[in-house]
Amino acid sequence: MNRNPYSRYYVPGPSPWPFFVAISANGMAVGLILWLHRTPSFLLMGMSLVCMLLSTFSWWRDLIREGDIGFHTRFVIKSFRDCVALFILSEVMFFFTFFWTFFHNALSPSCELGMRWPPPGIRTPNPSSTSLFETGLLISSGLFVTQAHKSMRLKDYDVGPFIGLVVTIVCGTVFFLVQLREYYWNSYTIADSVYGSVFYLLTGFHGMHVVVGTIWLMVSLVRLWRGEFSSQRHFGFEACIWYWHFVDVVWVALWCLVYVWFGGW
Amino acid sequence: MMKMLKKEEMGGYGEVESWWRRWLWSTNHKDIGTLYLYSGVWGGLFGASLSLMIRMQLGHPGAVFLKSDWFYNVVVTTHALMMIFFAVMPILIEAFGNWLIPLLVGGKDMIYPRMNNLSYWLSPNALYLLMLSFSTDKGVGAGWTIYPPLSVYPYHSGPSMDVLIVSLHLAGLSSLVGAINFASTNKNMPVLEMKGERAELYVLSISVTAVLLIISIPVLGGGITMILFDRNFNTTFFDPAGGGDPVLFQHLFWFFGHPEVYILILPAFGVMSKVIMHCSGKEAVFGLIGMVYAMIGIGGLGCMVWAHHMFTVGLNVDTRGYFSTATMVIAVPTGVKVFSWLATMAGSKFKMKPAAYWSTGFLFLFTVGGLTGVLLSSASMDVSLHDTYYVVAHFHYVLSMGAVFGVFCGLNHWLPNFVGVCFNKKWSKAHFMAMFFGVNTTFFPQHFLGLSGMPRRYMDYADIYAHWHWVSSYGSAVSFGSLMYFKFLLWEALVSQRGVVFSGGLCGEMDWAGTRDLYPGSKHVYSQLPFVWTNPYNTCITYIYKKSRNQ
Repeated sequence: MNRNPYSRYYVPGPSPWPFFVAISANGMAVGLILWLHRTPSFLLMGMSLVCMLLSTFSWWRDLIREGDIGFHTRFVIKSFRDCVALFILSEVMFFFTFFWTFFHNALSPSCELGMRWPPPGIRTPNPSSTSLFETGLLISSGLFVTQAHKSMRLKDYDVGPFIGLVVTIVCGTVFFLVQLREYYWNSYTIADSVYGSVFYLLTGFHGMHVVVGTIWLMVSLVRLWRGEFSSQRHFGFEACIWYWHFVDVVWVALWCLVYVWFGGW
Repeated sequence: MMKMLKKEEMGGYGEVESWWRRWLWSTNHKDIGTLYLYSGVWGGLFGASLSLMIRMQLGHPGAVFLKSDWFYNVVVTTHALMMIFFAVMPILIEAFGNWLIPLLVGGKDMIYPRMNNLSYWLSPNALYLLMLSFSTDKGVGAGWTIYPPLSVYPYHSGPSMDVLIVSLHLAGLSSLVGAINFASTNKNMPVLEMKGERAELYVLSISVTAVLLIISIPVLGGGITMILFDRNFNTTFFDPAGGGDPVLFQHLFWFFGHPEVYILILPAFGVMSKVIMHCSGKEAVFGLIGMVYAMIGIGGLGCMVWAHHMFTVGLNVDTRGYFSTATMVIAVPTGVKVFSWLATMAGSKFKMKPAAYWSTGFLFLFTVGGLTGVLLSSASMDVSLHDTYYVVAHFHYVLSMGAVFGVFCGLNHWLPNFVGVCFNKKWSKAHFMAMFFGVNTTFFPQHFLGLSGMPRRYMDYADIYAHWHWVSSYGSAVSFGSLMYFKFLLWEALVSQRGVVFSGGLCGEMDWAGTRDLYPGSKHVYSQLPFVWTNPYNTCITYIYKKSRNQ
């Protein structure tokens, strides 16, 4: 790695992490197939998972170190903003697929569903009970994470950002637990017609994103505690806030469509 | 004996570095581009071998060669996936893009070198999984479109379909990571004079491709995930028994699949712009702004025409009317591009280099493929031509003679830049002639077959089709032979070691001028921002080599 005062971007030296991430992704893919075909290999899955976690952890550690040393010029940070925005665009398109599936079935339910949505026999969740609480959790978490960001921008490194972040993380965790409880008590399964399929696919993938977002918020909390952010330079924190807003916007859309508009209540 | 170069004369290549740090842990855009080129060539040769198997089977009526119709379907499926995901995309987007983008935008490397390496290393892993799917159980015989119900449990009950799905996940992830890298590089890295509308057309073609990938790849990911769920987790997304709809998968697949064909051809457009400009000896392509917006228009429209692949599934007439019309509209920006290239060539002393042969061949044959495309875009016409060899002929004219001619054009033009040695010019032209004859003999008769009703994806046919099938198979043997001849040319260029003396281009061609007459260029060509000057009309970029400020 060489530093040149006239260059805007830096080129990191050789890094083993991308190679190992790719190899372990392959291992996890093969492990998944073996598991689906009833010949699970916990050794392969476990080793791949550990390799994946260690590699990504080390990769991000390297990135944070490079930022600490000062490689992240304002040009690099600007490119990171575009990168995260494009990543979130790809995630939006991923959910677009599942919302398309939802609309395809909900707007013109087939004869097998009695041409009704939700199909007869499905006892749909009440949009004003658990799911309303979940919506409230995510919307308020969005407010708290904004408060954390604002306090950070106002050079409050002691109390404000901590309170905001901790409350957001608690909201995310409670959301996850409440959703598990909702899954447990739901009267229908993923195999109960395409309604069950779409419902669990949408809420399940959203729930996975909540988990990832919560972990990212926790990482930001640790970095905040270690004093790695300042009022001007905290893009890691900001990216995690963007991601969190993406997660709660998807939930609000999901709640409005799946639970309220097409909820059949 | 070769003169030993001093370390500083070797452009960064003299540093003692273990091979795995250079090739496995690489953060260098040139090395990663080279890796992509190797994998892509491997995939291309494998895919071409499969196509030769298909044509050998179809040369005569009856199951004479492959014996098993299932295996024939597996060969067809793997041929398509191999050519799309492991030959054309790695070479045209990733290999050329990696080599050229940093040179053309005046950057030191790609903007995220480690992500670049992740993008590369996911692709051989995906390739491994594709080969696993090819050789596990009985293989996937569902076509590259993997439509349900053929791709779900009762018809593909073995693990090969699941392996294919995760292979596509990894290949998609690889493209997605690469696309984010390219999009961000092209947006942020260029020197000020080369941003926005002033970008090089090649750079812009990669940008549009990257955005199309970011928009469409996740939709494929979602669709095949739902197939995985239908196969393994008791869902009924595409199963009418539970109220699902197989047509939904076709929508999702083609929402990805149609942008995908532009993903394959747009980088070839970029190559054409560079090569035609170079061979015309002009400073810019004719109608630069028109070209820029034609490319963006093709990308945008390309996302809104997907259902023209599904005219026979029972869409209503209004829907088919819309998709016919929208598809025909794409002919307009494409025409803008073709005529702008012709206008670029007009009035110049066109240097008939081997790359110029390929680019003129591209212009002619891509236009032929485009015209049959206009014919097929009409829903009423498509109903009778759907799933016939007419469609096969159409998309091979635009891909096998569009995208693949783009690959050869780029290799002829830039391999001297990448490797530092030149092809034998006369023999390269002979290679073009052989290939041109081969592919046209293969695919032109397929129009006749299609018009007389020969359906796609069958290993056997009525005797009446035998004659044109024989001609087609003969052409396929010729093109395969010319491919082997190209391998010989590559070997000949490498052993003869004819160095590059002069690029023959103007000084504004930063891919050539930027390396300061050193081919291949040093590891990171621009150690700092290059000095770039544009003329008052922004039609021309001149790269000026000055001594670095800190030297």
